[in-house]
Amino acid sequence: MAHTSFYPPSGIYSDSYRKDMRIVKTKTQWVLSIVSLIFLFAIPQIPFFNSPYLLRLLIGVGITIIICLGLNVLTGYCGQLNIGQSAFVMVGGFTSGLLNIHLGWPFWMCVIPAGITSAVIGAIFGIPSVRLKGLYLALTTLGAQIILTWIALFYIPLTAAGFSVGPITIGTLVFNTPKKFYYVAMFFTVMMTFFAKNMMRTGPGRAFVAIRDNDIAAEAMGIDIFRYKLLAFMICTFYAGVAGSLLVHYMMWAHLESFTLQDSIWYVVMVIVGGLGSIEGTIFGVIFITALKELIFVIGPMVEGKLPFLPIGAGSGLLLVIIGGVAILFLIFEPRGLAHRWNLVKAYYRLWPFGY
Amino acid sequence: MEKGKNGPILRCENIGLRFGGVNALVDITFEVNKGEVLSIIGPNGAGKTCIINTITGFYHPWKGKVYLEGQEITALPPHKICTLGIARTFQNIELFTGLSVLDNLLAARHIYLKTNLLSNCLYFGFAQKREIDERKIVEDIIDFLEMEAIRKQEVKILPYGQRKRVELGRALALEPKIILLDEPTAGMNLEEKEDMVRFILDINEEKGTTIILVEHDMDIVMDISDRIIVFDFGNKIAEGIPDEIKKDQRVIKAYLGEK
Repeated sequence: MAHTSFYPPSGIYSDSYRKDMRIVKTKTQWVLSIVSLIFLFAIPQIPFFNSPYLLRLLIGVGITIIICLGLNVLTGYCGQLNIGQSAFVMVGGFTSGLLNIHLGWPFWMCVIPAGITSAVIGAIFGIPSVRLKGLYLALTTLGAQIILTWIALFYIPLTAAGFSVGPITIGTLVFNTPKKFYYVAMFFTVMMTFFAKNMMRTGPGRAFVAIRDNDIAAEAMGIDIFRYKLLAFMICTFYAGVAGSLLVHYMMWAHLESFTLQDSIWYVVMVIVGGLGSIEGTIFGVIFITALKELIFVIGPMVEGKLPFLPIGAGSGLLLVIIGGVAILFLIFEPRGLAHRWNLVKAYYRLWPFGY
Repeated sequence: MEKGKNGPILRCENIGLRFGGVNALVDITFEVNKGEVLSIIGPNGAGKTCIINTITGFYHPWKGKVYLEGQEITALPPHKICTLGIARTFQNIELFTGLSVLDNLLAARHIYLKTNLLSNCLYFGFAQKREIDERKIVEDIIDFLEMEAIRKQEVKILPYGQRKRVELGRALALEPKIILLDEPTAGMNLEEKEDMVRFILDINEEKGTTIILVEHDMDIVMDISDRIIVFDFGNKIAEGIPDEIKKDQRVIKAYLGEK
């Protein structure tokens, strides 16, 4: 389930374990994967698709996918709730930005240190997870959000005011427009997704799920719970740090307001809606919620115009109501998220036309 | 080679375990010989599961020591003890419910899976080769326990008897020297019990694994045990071969009460 789509399409049989463990099993699947990858990277060149609005949206989706992949590794696979993810994005963003403007390092040298700094700080906040579970742990991560923001606001004058950051460059090529930056964002999104998927279908992924499902048995099976919980925290915050680095170089501006508690909550909602413990689900969740957000941004003002008795700002307020409602509906009716729907669709396709 | 003549593999010395004012185990001393089937029996609350939890490191005794092949393991955490070659199953099944049968067994291969995170990320070369090697070993166990049909099913949808079997498979995947089975046939029908007993005997004979069995079904215990230890209220009241235990007055008293 969690890692590999075990069942191949009808009529395809694996004759070695190597083949059985593949994700992409048939020629059709290969062709489809490659075509969609090419399409993904060709979007800025296709007319109608390449409007700056859509590209900006897609860049946002890409960066958010990286953040939520990390969160899903920690919350979905390892079962440790984290509601301070955007604080770790902030750590990565500021680290990368400071290295860029003070030491003059280019983005490509900043992105890994940004991820590592974030991971180290994430590990420190992960230490309580040895003793704390569930809501209590969630509170310590909420603490991380508040403490880290507070430090950035009161102890480091530079981060408190915000500062401008240089764009990403390769040689003379400067990625300073959405159309150009799109390639960088998608490159990172695809790479990080690939890494996450592979990690989660091999040893570490199984260890994480083992800890989530039954920590006593996991310990009896030789899994060092403390080490693996910390590892999950570090992977989660490393992803956040890398995404933060991308974000500040994309906006060319690092400021506290980009990393709020509300963002952290959004990420949790996206992961829940997409499906806890599923890499594909993370992508679905981010796309679904982002699309919903945009839809409401369009519909909100229209509703406000039609109904003059509503107070000013009710349209954008609607956003929170609807997203909150969606999260509740998903928890009640589809607690396994969009990923579960996707698996049902795949199973239906596989068994069609004899779905019994 | 006669069973049980190879010297002790596990030794418990004066184990004392307390919860608050309750003495769960009092001065328990016994040895387990290499390759034997040792049963631990006793009425409810006698301390059978306590001794298993003590050996596997989930409880730390206030007194006494546990030795595995001469090495002291008393103060070690469970995951360390596991890597030294002691596997266990649980009285109430404790599986990784979200994983398939295959992944449950693979998760137990964890201690042998020495790959670094970076190669896992890439899934090329070493990591992939290791995964395939582990898969082969796990498939052998699936063969052995006759679970081929359910290997890709999620554990949470399996019936009780099969879950017990998966749990045994998961313990086997650790390739342990000793397996501690906590009531492996509880709640099973006759057929499932016969299967389970057959597996236990096969593991013991083919792989030479030492087995410590906690069980309430006296027919099974008397049939397959090489030796039996009887507990009552945290004390060891008898130890011996099945025929001796059947006749032991203290055991009869503990189970049936006095006239």
